[in-house]
Amino acid sequence: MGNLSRRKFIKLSGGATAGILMWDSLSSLFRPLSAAEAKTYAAEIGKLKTVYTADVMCPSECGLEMVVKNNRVFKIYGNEHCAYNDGTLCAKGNSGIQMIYSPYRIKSPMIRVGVRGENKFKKVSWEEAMDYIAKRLVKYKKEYGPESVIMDAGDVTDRDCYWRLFFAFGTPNSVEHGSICDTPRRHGPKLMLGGKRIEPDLMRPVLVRQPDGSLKKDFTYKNKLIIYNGWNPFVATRINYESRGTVAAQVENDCKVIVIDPCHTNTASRADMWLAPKAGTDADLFAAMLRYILENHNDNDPSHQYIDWSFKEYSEGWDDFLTEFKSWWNKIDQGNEHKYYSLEWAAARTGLAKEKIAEVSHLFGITKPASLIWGMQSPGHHYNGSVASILGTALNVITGNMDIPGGAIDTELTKASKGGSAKGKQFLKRKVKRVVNGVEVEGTQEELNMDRFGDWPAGWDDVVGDYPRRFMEGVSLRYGPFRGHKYPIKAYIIRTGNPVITGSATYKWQEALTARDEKNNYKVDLVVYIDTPFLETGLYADVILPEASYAERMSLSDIYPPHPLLYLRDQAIKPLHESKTPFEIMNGLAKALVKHGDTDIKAEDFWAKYKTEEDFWNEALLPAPGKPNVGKPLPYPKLPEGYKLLGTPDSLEAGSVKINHKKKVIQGEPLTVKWLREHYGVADWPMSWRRFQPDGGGILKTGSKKVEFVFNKYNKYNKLIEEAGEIPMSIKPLGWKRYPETFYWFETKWNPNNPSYAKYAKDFPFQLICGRVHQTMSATQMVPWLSEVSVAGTWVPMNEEFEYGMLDVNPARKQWNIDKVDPATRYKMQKEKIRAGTWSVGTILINSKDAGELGIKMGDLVKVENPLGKHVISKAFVAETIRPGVIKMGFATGGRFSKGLGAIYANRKYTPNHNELVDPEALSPIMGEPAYADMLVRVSKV
Amino acid sequence: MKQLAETLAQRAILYRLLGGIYTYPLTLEKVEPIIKLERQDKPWKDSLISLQNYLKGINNWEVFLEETNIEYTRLFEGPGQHPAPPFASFYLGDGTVMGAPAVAVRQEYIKWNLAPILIGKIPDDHIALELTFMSYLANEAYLALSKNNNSLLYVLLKTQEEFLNKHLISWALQFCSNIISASTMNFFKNLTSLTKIYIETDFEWILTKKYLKLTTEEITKPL
Repeated sequence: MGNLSRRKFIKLSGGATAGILMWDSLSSLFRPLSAAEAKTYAAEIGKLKTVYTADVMCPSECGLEMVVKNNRVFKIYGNEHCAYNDGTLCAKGNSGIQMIYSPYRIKSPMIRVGVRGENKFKKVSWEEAMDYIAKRLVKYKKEYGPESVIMDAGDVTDRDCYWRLFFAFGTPNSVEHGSICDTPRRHGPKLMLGGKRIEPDLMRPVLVRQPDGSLKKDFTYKNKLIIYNGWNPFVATRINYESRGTVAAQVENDCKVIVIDPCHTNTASRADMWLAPKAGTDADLFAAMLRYILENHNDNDPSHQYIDWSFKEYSEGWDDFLTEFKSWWNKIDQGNEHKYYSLEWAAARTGLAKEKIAEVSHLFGITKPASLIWGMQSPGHHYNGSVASILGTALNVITGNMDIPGGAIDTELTKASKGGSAKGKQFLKRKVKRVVNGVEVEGTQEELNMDRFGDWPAGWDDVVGDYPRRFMEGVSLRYGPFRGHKYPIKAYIIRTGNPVITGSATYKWQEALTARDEKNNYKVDLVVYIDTPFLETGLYADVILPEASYAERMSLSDIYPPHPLLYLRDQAIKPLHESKTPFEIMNGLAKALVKHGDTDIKAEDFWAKYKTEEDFWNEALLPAPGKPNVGKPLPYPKLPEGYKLLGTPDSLEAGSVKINHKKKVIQGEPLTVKWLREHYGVADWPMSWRRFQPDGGGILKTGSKKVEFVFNKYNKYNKLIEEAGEIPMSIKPLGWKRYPETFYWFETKWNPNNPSYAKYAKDFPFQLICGRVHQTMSATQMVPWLSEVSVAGTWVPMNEEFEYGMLDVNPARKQWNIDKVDPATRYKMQKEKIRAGTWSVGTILINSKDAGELGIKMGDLVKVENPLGKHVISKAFVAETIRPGVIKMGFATGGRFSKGLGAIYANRKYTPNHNELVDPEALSPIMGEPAYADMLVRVSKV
Repeated sequence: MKQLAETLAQRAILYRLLGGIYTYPLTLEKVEPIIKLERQDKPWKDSLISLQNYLKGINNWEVFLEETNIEYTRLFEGPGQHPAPPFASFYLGDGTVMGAPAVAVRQEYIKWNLAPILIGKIPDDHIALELTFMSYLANEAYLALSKNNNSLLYVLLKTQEEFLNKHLISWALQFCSNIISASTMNFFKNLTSLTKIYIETDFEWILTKKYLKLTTEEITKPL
């Protein structure tokens, strides 16, 4: 290079050369290739490479086969070797190319130069960004303790690198999006089974041990009845196999499907029965079902043998639960003057005919195998969702449907273990000291947790929804050794999340992130936003870090399979632009922290320990599959039953194992990234059923290793309460002094059934519910392909005319033969006027009867107001597909104010942001999550 | 011949200067040579003078560079939607980056035994890379001329014509127009006006030159 030497410049161009002498950009942009290198590079062009990896375009995280051509992801297919999605892929998965190669993704580190919210940033080097962050983190640690820093790892499962770093830094406050989303629906299974998510046994194929000892793929569906309550698997982006499996079970096994939802969802369109109750009545319906089953069960009548008493062998506390449940049966509900949980009571509360409630209860009781599934649109997002999820869990257990072929499976209990020591939870056990009220006390790092030792002792998944308040007020620890210790939140690190739109009320987040102290500094002094797309929360950041997209980073995936199944998210391409992988960010920030004086971060825990990404993920794979060799058929009949399995499927199959009889562990060849790459990216261990074991050796993760109808899991929180002598402010409004020992009941909020809210019903006659729109999650709305597809009344082509950068496939406006046109000049990106009514935007769904009474027609602009004085503007979609008295919005479908979102930003003024109407003070008393689906509103034409 | 040599060298310099300025961050070292460029009797002279006058009027370079780099971030980086993504694929492809235009220019670079240092990370069709590649070709043409290697000179000039025609000119003009209309800083308005008119006139120049019509026999003779 550099043949145009400086000497020649001097000769040829006189005055211009003085500056040229100082500057040589050519060598900073290009490098010369040897002839051999050039040949190699040239030969690579056009070659195809297949990489097996995993999606994150939505939380379903399907197994993918990415075809790479010319260093670019060229095609995306479902990975046929991954049973989770069995080679299938939805539109969202296919559109990943538009996310990876979006010109508007975050490309470089940036530092804010305007005020928060102004969207004024300056590009900086990684070193500058890391120094900026590290310097401040070290300062906060010195002044307020590391607990003043929150690491929120958002809505993607590969959070291990970030958690490790921040646990090592010293904060116990490392959380994730799951903390603010549908925690009440997971509460019941967690409390009673030690699990989280009960799903129908629908994932096929599964590897099953045959009577002859061989392993074969089983494609058969055993399900006979599935009840989806407030769960829309055909849209909800979590469990891929449920959409295809539901239809397959219907077609191949005559499985009946009942959908219970105020809205006629697209899952309801395939259902045998659709019941549209009033919103927020899930617990009412489940309680009535349980009472009906208990009252009408008859051991001697095959047509009424609802209960499978064998559940008592692997459970404890049923009698206590039953006694407490029955104690309500003779109480009169002042709201409707019926006895609790009776059919009449449930009919009055739900608005369903009592005959229908009886029919569903009977069907569920008598049909085997069956499963009762509840979703995030119902118990997940109601104030009393934990009550519903406890009742739902009990219903699945006593009818004998748990963990049987075609029944209900708690997938948290069955998925493979992963993460292990790589996740860094061991750092939480470090001893730390704090001076509290003038006295030095010692405890562990985890006892500084803002939730579990603060206002939400039982909030075991942490309580992100309560952030805005704590950002303003700081944290007061009320339980454990550090009772009385107070600390502010000084730094908030948010990665792949957008809480300003998806966590509690948007205006509360804006208020919290822009609040200033008496010195006019921001109360939360440092906000760091780490992501690939740029969303609203990023507008309030001080530092923006570009994270490698999912095609550019490595990690592991396993989204709720019914048996251990793990797959690799592999790097299909190098990180684009200046983005870095979570692993690189972890090591980079670790080094910067040490540089600025942090003494807790050690080289031997980070960059000296993990030389490559593979080193890190190999450690994370060590605990896999981590499940006991139990169930029918036994996964590995040649290995000891009940022992914990570790290692690759093939080494366990071949018996290449070491057995530790004392610890009851079977260790095969450790699973590694290399092994996964050699096996299409997937480790698939055998399926079995009936893994709840009477002797406690099964998969249950409760303290007793049995299903617990007595809530022993609350014991440790009650102990904290007793020691402190202080009732948590979260449960005080329920009249509780401690967490209950067994079944409990309380009403949901902002619901006319609750006497405290009945007074609002006259002026605010509608219940507002929300649900996911598959195409348009908070981040993927920047993907144009997905914005153009309409969905079920809440995402409809009702746009007003707007300008948008569009692809013109014939910019010359000439007739041409596509094959003869140079691909490089065939298309042109240019601003086009998008005609009104041709582009999907967020809408509200309202019943045509209600709309008629209000004089609202399809497409009219309406105002939706709540009693808190907040409102949104939206176009109305008028249809019969929702219960009268209920209106529905999608999550994050409107009012979006990040320019990074393209068309949805252009349409922000007449599209609804559901979270603008959420009550930020209505937080689940157990889990602290906002009650997203509890609100009363009125609707008027604008 | 002397005139041609001068022109080739000047083209190499100007493309190189422009290529450098479209890389981040903007520094004094990158800007100063522009002020010192000779004002020649070319169609782009007025644009150059405007830019030079603007730069000569700067009193506080530290403030200027800071403001310019913030504006650079807003125009070319974001975060989020921004007025002028500096990649050909955005304008010529399907609105994403690293598309067919990026692969096409990569092939050109490889033909000339060059590879972007950040290959696979920074898209090959970044404006700075394409401008700098033009500088490289002009420089090589100058060298071929000085060695009387007319066949190579012919190939190099033909390559430049094709590169301009197929790649740079087909999107850079729109890229520049986006900046002219979106930028709030006269520096960028002047810079992109110069870039635009320079590319346009250079393309005209290269299309009208006689040596592009040389026959096989002629190119074996010294010019």
